Amino acid sequence: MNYTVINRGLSVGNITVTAVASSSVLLVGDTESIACSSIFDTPPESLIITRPFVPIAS
Amino acid sequence: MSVDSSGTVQIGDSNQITPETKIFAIQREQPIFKGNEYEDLSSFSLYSQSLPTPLLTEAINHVTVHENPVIKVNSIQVLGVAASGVVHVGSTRTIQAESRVKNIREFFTDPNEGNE
Repeated sequence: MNYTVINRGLSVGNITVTAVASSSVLLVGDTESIACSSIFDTPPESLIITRPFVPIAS
Repeated sequence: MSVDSSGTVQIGDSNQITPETKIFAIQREQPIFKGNEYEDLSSFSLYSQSLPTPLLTEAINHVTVHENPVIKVNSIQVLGVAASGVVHVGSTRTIQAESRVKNIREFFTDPNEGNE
């Protein structure tokens, strides 16, 4: 695949973003390759229900 | 823009951006923490398993012609840049981002009892 980019100026007015977090990128400009991979783990066993315990005064 | 915990603001070109985040969050109904919960994370495979990256099966020859290489930005408002977040104004070659998040929630009563 032939891929040609001709940049004739890039102008941005306003960008308003609440948050850029956990390895995310707010890019204004060119790039050749982007590879984002993420893993989010909240399996059922991560929801633990235990009787309340009173911590021993240490 | 407030930048926290290895956030980055780059004005200008770069070659490679490789943000990496590992988050371990424990939420307890009664917030009592010994402080050493995060020490032994080896038992969670999430932090060691390899993540699938997209395959590039096609030859791409990429040509960029900069007739007017100017980037003009009036204003960027970002409330927060955290956990290896990147705000980058300019060009780059490769972005390789990875984020691993694990949440553990501990309750005394089952929160889902009410709405089933």
